[in-house]
Amino acid sequence: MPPTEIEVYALPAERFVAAVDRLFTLGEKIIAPTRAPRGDIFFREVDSREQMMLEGFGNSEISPAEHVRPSKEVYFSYQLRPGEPPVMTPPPAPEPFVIFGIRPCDVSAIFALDHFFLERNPRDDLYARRRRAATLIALACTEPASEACFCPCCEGGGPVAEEGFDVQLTRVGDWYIVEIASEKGERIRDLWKSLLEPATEEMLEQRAEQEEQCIEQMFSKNANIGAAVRRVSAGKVEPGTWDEIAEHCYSCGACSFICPVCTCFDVNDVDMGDKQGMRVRQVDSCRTFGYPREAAGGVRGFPTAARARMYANHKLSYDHYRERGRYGCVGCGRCVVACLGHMGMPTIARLVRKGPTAKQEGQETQA
Amino acid sequence: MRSEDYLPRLARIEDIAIETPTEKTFTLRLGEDDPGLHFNPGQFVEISVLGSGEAPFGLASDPAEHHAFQMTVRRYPSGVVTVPLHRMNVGDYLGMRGPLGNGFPLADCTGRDILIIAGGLGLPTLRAAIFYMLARRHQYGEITLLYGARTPQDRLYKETLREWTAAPDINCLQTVDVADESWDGNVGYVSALLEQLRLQGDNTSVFMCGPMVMIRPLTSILVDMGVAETSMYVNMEAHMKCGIGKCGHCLVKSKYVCTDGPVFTYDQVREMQAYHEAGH
Repeated sequence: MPPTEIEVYALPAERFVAAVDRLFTLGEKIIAPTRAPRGDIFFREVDSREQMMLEGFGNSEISPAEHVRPSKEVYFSYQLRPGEPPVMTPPPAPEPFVIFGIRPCDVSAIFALDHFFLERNPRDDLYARRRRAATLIALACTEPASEACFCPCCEGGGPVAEEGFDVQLTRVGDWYIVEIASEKGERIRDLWKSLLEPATEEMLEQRAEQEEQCIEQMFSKNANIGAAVRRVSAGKVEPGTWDEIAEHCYSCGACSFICPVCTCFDVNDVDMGDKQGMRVRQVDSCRTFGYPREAAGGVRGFPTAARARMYANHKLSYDHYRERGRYGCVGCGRCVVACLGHMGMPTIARLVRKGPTAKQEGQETQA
Repeated sequence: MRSEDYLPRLARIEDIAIETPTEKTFTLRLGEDDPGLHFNPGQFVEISVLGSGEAPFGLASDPAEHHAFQMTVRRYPSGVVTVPLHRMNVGDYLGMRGPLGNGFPLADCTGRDILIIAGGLGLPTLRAAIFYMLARRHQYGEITLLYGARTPQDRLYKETLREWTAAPDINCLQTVDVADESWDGNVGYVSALLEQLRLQGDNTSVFMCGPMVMIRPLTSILVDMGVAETSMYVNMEAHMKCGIGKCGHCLVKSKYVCTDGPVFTYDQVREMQAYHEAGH
């Protein structure tokens, strides 16, 4: 995706519904936020606007990045034939699809995934095929999307995305500011042409004010991931910090399984019987006991604390900055919710910064 | 390289040689329509036993050969791939992805004396390196191989070792930890052999592969002999799943063993080991 100048338009709020309806004329799969019976938000394929959440929905339980980098993906299926070469068949290329309503933190996560899988050699074709098929229509946050998010503390993060989307909508009073940032986005602009009006300076100023207010209300404004990055990169983490984190770690891997930026995976052959099967990759977590498993099934001395350090190092050190174009945290807050030991990234960052006896994140900073 | 690279190419097992009770050398042949395997010694391939999985193995054969290649596989009792691999027969098909990783910088070491040190199952990729250098013998100074194994029977490539011992263009020295009645050679650690060598330290490049407990003491002897750590190359082993720097399993601090390695200079290895040992 070559970076293009972002075009800015305005969509009157009463035409929002019509704009959404027009997406269904694209003939592409529409992935949108839906409300599960108990109120949780999940990004799923929808057939009509009625099934979607359009506004006022919080952060989804699972990042929509899942649709770009699925937690389980087939490399190929195989058929063994005695005495003859086996046949291996890659899955068909994914059909084009639109993710509507993706939040800026998840846009930022996909930006990082793009760098990781596409910009670094060798490119990951499996990711590339799916990414090429995806159009991202972001919906900027006008208020915190959950009680745990801290995107302004992360580089490139904030309630309004700066890059990485094809289209971004931001509600400002009776209008939506519509930003078009790519060729894929231009397709949506053309679709909405008759609905769009020129944006005014006033709207943009109002959005900036609104963004400030949104940041004010967030769970943690002071996670200061950047300072943690400097400490991890310089190896200046106080003794005992990883042990303290490990003390609270159940090695369940939830933090990284749910993280939209985490990329590690495992590869397995699944036997389907009748000499058929498939090779799949599945997300893996460096926080689990089995992760550093070696050939021959042995697990080398790799205590929970060392795995916590590995996790923090991969996400926060300069060494890995370039491979993602940003740090390994976008502030979506899902790890804060998922961690049974209350060791989400803001707390880890805090311990890294202040040493093992620092107070819990939120105790001092919650607004 | 693109990652159709996740889709293996097919290779047919042409020969299986039994090296030791737990190690076999497989000779694999690629199809005639395959573009061939053009590799640098020290590089590895991911071998698939379809239905069981995939694992990395160092290339052990002469790199001049492009449509046939060899790898030596130790069978581990719980090996997900090595156990079914050891059960396979000539004529069976395996999947292959590669070559992967960086390999030894052999082309950059012309004009220098070469010391190769292998321990046990560390010999395969160094064997490929020796084939490469012997084919360009006039480009290198002295070539010395030190090979250590637990017992005489644990040595790999016994026939090749016999040839090299007799050959005038390579100085091949072997030692075993524990001898048996068939053995009249050196007994003891590789370090004892190394101490007997007269090296021109500043003109020597060292290529090593073996357990770290062997390599570490050797490097201090080498430093005393005047060899720079940046001229010592170690072929590292790690749990590489994808082989192309994506899955994260072989990551040590900032280095992906599969794409930044598996060959590292010893100063890099020392840094990686220190990070490991600092633990937490």
